[in-house]
Amino acid sequence: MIGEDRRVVDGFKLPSCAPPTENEFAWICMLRAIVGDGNTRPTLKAVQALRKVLMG
Amino acid sequence: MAKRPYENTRLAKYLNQRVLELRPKKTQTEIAQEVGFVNVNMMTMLKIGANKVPLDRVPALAKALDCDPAWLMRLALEQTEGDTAARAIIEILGAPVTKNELGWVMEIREASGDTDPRLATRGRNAIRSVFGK
Repeated sequence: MIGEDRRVVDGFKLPSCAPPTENEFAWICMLRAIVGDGNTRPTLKAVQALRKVLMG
Repeated sequence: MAKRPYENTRLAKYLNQRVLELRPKKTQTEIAQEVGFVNVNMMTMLKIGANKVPLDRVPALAKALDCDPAWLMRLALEQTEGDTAARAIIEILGAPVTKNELGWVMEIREASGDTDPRLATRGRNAIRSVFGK
């Protein structure tokens, strides 16, 4: 479970608190299609692969 | 008409599994009471697929089962496939996003420096390879 106990300061909002964008939703739909299950946690291996792609 | 029309739905199977997992903590009757079912046999009816889960009970059921409400709502909408209203909801709003999926979003934001990256072939292939697809 993520973000439940995140502390926020009035007037500021962390990017991670914002609702998913259309691009992010496309990532989610792709994950659903690949994994076939909408409730898979991000694994270390997956996060490392993501970083490799997104950080260049 | 089939006596257990929802027997093979993912939701009926998930309820069976979750009630079993929670057994050391609470009984099925306690779960039914927490959800607010007047008939305590309702949980059995849902588990065997004799009845579908009423959508308005999903939040209370998710709380009683200690599971992600978006995940349960998605399974409940899936269970009502054929129900025009449920199909319309998914078509317009999309399937509810679970907390685990939001976890992916947060990872994508962190890895990309919050640049809202488009889903390109490279990203798709990277995820596919992680899951061996």
